[in-house]
Amino acid sequence: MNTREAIELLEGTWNNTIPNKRLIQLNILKMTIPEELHSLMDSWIDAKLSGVQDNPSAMTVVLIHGIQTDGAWHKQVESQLQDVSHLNVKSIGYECVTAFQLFSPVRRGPIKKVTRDIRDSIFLDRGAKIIIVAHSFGTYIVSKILSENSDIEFDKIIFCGSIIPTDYRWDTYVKSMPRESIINDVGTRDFYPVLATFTSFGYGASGRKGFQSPRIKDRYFDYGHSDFFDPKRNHISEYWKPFLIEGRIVESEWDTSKPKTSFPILLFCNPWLGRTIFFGIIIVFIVILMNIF
Amino acid sequence: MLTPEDKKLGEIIFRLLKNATSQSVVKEFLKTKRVPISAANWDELFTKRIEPALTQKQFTIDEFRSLLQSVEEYGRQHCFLFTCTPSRAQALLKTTRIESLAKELGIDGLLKKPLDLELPNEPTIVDLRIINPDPTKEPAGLVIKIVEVRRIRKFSSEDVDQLTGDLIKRYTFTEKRSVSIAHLRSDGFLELRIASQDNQTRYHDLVRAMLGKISTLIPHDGFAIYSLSAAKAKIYKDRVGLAQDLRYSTSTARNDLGAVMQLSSSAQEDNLSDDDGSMGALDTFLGLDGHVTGTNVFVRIPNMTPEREVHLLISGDLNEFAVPAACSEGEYAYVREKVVSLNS
Amino acid sequence: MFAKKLSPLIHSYPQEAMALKRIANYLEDFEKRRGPAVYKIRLDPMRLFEIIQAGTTSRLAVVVKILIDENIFCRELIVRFPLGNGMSFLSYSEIPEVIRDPARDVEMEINSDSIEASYVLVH
Repeated sequence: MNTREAIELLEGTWNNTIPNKRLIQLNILKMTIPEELHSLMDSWIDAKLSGVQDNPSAMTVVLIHGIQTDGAWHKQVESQLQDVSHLNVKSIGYECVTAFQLFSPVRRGPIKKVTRDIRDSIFLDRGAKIIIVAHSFGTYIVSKILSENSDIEFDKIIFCGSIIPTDYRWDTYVKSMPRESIINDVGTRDFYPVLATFTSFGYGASGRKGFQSPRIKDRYFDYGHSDFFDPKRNHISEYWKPFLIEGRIVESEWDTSKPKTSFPILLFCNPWLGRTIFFGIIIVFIVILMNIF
Repeated sequence: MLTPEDKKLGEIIFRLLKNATSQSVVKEFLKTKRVPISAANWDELFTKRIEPALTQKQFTIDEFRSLLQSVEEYGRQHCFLFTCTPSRAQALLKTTRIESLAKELGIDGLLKKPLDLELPNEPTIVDLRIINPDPTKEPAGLVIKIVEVRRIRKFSSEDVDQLTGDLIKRYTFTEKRSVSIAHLRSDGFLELRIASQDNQTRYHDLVRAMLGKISTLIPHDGFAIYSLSAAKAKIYKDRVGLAQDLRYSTSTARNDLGAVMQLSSSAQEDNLSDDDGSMGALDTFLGLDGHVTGTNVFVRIPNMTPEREVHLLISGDLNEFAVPAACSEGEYAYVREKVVSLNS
Repeated sequence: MFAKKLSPLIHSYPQEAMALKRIANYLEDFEKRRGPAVYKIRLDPMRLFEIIQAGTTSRLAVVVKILIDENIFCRELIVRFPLGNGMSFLSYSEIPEVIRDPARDVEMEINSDSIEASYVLVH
C-alpha cells in the first residue's frame, strides 16, 4: 500500500463514519495498514481532528525541466515564491535526456514518469490548484500528457522555450481551462525550438514564434533559450509571480518593439519546409562525400 | 374565503413559526396588519386571530410566509464566509444561467413559489430567490434555502439495574427541522448560514454537504475561505475604540508554547474589557507569540429603543462566525457588516 | 541554533523543501527572540499548517510525518478538560474512554472533541 492508497482509505473511512465513532473506526483500520504508514496515518488524523481544512487558495506549482539538465532553475523558482502563502513548489524530474534522445523517437520514458508523478501530485494536493511551469522538453512532455490523459487538468500553465508544435490542438486538449490561463513566454533569440523543428519530428517552434492561438497568451522577450532563469532579468518575480498569485498577465514591452522574424528563421520554423531543406542538404552532402570517396 | 390549499398552507406556516419563534414576534407582525393579538395560547392565536385574518385578507399567505422566512433564516446560525472575484460571482448570478440550471434540476418552480415543507426525508432545496432590486441591471444576489431534518438525541431517564449493577440511560430521538441558507452576492461574497447544532461544535461535515448540495448552481471553484483572523485580533486590540459598538464577554487565546488562556466576564451581561487586570493579562499573553483563537462579544445595534444587543461568536473555523440567538434580518445584516468591516 | 537540525531534511526531502524551510525560519526567529524558550514550543496542527503554509491537509500530514520520523518533533495528544487543563498521551490507542479530570476530581467521558494533537520539539 502506498501513501496515496493509505490517504484514500483514511478519507473514505472518515467521510463514511459518524463523527463520534471515527476514532474507534480509525484505530481498527490502523491494524490493517502496513506499519510504515502508521506515522502518516496518525499525522493525518491529527489534522482532521484539529479541524484543519484545505485552503481553497492553495497552489502547487509543478516544475518540469528540459533536456541535458536536472532543473537547477527549480531552486530559483522556489526561492522567488517562498513568501507566497499556501503555495508549494514541486519539482518533477526524469533521467537526463540528451540531445540525441531529443531528436530520436525514444521519448516515452520521461513522459510516462512525469505523468505518474503529476497524477500523484494531483491526488496528494488535490485541495490545491495545480499550476505547471515547463521549459523546453518539459513543454513537450506536458503537451503529450494533455493530449493522452483527458482526466488530467491544470489550473494554469506557463511555458518557456517551448518546443510544442505550433498547430497543437489547444481547442481540444484544454477546453476546460479558462481564457488567459496558459502563457507561452517566447524568446525571440531562442534557436533551440527552431532547431528541434527542422531536425526532428513531433516538435515545433512555439518557443520562438509563439502559438498565435486564441487559447494561449504569447509573450515575447529578447531572450535566448534559458534567459528566463537569469537572476539578473528577474523574470520569475516580474512576470510569473503576478500570474501565479493573481492571474494577472504583465505585458512584455518587447511584444510591441520586437523586430520582424527573419525569413530564413520563418522558413525553418515551418516543419515541412524546414525538414525538407535540412534533410535535403544532408542528403546532398552525403552524396557529395560518397562521390569524393 | 380561503382556498383549501391556502388554509392548509396557513396551518403549515403557523406550525413552523411556532417551532421557530416566540408568540411576541408573531404578535408584532399581527399588530402591523392591525389584527387583534389577544390569545390565551398558540392554538387560540391561530384559530381566533390568524386564520380569520387570512380569510378576511388582512394579510396574505405570502406575507405570512415572509414572516416565517425572516424568523427562520436569520439568527441561531453558524455562518461561513467565502469569496470569489466579483466577475465570477456576476457570471454565476446571470438570470438565464440560474433559470436554465434550475430547470435542469427540476426546481425552476421554486423561482416563483417556494416549497412549504415541514420535515423532508432528505435535505431539500425549498426556495430559490434571485435578488434583483433593479431589473434593468444584473442580479445582486442569489439565495438558496435548504431544509433538512436533524435527529436530536435527548436524555430522557436513567435506571439502575440492581441485579447486574448496570446504570441504564435512556435517550429519545426527536426530529427537528433545520434551515440552512446559501447567499451569493454580486460582490463575490458567498455566505453559508447553517442552523446551530445541539450536540456538536464542528460544522465541517455540514458545510461540505451544503457545498455539495448547491454545487450545480454555485460551483465551489474559484471560491476561497474568507479568514476572520483579522477581525478576531482587531476586536481585542481596538477594544477601547470599539467600546461603543461591542461588549466583550469572553476571549480565548493560545500561544506557541501550547498554553491556552480563557477569560470570561462573570455573567453574560458584564463587559470583560472593564476589567483592567484581565485585559492586561491578555495583552501580555498575546505579546509573546500568542494569538486570539476565539472571541465572544455582544454587538450593540444602533438607534434601538430599548437598547438591543446581538450575541456574536467568532471562533471555530477561520471563516466562521455565529449568531447564536434569534435576530431579525436587519440585525443580522448589521452584525455581518460589522464582522466584515472589522476584518478589513 | 535549533533550526540547523532541519538543514539535512531540506536536502533529503526536496519535494517538501519549502515547507521545511518555513518551519526552520520560524524556529530560528523564535529562538532569536526568546532563546531557550524554543525548547518549550508546543504547536497544534492548525498552527503548524499556518507556519509551513501547507495549503492542503495531505501535505500537512506528509510534512508532520517527516518531522516526527526524523525526530525533530514528537507527537503528544492532549485530552482537554472543561477547566482548560489537559492530560497528555503519546498515541490515540492509549487514550481511555473515561478519564478522571484532575482539576475537578470527577470522571469524564472522552470523545474526539476533547482530544488535541500537539507537536513538541525533541532535544
